[in-house]
Amino acid sequence: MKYSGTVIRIVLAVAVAFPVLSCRTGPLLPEEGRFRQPDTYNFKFIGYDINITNPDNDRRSYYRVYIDKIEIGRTTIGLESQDKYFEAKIQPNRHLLVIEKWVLDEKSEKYVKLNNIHQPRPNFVYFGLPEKRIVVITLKNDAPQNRASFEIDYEHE
Amino acid sequence: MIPRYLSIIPLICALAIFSACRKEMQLEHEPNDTFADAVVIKTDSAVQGVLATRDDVDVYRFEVSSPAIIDILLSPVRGVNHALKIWKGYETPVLIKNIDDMRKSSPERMSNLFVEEGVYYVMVLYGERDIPVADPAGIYRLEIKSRAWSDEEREPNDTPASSSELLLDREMRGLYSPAYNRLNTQEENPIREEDWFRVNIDLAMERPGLVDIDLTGVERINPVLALYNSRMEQVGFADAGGVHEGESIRGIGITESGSYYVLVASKNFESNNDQEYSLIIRTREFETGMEMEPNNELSHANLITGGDISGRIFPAGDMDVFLHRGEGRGLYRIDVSPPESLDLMVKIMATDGSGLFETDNGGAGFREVLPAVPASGNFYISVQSRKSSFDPERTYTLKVDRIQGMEEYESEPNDRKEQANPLSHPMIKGFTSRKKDRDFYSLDYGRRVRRSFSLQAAPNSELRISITDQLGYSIKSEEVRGTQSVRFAEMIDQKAYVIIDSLKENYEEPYILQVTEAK
Repeated sequence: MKYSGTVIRIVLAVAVAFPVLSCRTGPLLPEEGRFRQPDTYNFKFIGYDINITNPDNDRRSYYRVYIDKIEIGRTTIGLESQDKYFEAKIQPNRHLLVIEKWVLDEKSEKYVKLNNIHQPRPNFVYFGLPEKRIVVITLKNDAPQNRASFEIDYEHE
Repeated sequence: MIPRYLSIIPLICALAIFSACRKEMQLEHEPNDTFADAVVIKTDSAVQGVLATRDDVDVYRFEVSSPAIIDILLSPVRGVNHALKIWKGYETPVLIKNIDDMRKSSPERMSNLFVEEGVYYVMVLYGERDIPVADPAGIYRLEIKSRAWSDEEREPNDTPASSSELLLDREMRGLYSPAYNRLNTQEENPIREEDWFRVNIDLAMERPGLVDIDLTGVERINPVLALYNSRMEQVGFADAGGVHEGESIRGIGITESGSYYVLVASKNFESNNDQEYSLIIRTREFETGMEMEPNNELSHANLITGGDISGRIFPAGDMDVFLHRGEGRGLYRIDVSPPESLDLMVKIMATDGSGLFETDNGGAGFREVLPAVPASGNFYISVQSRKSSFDPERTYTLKVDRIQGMEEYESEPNDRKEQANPLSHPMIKGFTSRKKDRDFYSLDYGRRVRRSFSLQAAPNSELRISITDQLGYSIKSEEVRGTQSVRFAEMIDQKAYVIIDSLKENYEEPYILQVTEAK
């Protein structure tokens, strides 16, 4: 009898505790909650230069963006030291990103492609784009060295 | 028997006849320094004289009984600059000619003085330019010849008031004689010898008429020809020809009957005492649809009625100005078709005379077209020739057409980004207005957008389309030719410009630019 009373109390406690536990707020899918969901775009590229010490060398510029060897657009225009953005919607898959830097030639009043020797190196990166993620690739180019590094991340909420 | 002394009678007669036939040279006899002491001479005779002292003046008098033309020639005297003055009237002589070529050792001549019944004086004196040099051995010869007058100028006709009468359609002759008229003290062309003619023109029913004048060329003379109305306003002028060449005035419009004056003068102050010029003036009816000279200024612009008008570029340097009356704001196509001989320039001006547009795209015979000229109300169009070319015969045609649906078309001038046409419609038609024309269009979305651009070129044209950043620096360019079109997408970061550059022109048909949302 002693044991039966204890069992009954346990059963009752579990019966009361389960619904309480089951109603607790918390991520059912924790990872999706931490990252922004794709809407108008699922790919974002940001490029900028560092170590520019003379404003005269800080030219207006943009990057042309190639995905899988197809030009899909260009970034916004800004000084080389500023962030320049490009967004697009592409198929989830593994992709090749190649960028091409263009700068303003004030004499000819147009943007011209930088000579290859002055292009950021490397100028490409492979990346994977999963479902329900916005991949953000940030190019940080050391201007004096033309040495580029790519950071790949998912866009956060 | 005949007495012996009678046998010498034939000899005496022969000597008498011989003496009578000998031409005696008349000599001046001093004093003849005043009109009262003038040496009487006859026409068709000659007299010899000497300017014996530094203040010597020799006066001669001759009488005329009927109208005639007198040719007065004073021979040269070595080292002496002499001159001639001609006076008319016996009691109170009036100076009518002062002839002095201002050179030493040269003759003076007045070859066609018109004289009527009365007394004339010829005064031989030193010229004004040089210090008188008395030379008792410097004999001059003064010769006066006469001939009948017929259809020629009546010198002195040096002013409008003393002008010779000119009849329509009747040839008038004249001479560029003498070289200078020292009595001409006007500011503009002092001492120029001028021949003035007066013509009376009666306009039937006071309908406008046109005047044509032709002046033949004369050796050594570079003439000028001008026409004045009764208010002495110059209504026609010609100075197209050079030395030895004539001049013509064509199509001078006149709107009132009355006296008109024609001026003939030697531009280069040369004389020709022997070869006559011929002057003829004609009138004709004004042709509807034809310009009416003078229309060289805004104030004399010809009104364009019915959308087109013809004109001539004549003489060299002629400019024709036309007025187009418009209502409200409109877009106009202006088309000027010249003859093969003319290379025309066309200019559009506002009512205050400021230039709005101009075109000079081709050479001789090339049609000049301003395909889309926006204008508010009235505007002026001037047509002139490059390189001073002219054509007295063939005409050009000016057409002005109003374009319907002006909102579909670009609005010139938009050659700079500051003049860019805002692209408020997804489609716009533009024209190549001149060589290497640039058309700017502005885009302003206020946000980052992606747009599709499509450009369709006009036949036989070649265009380049460029998309710029916010500052107008080109980001992307594409070229298109013929009737092809090009289409591409580009991201616009709030603002941008579209530039259409003309690489090969088609002034007739428009290109079509479309900007739509990119998919």
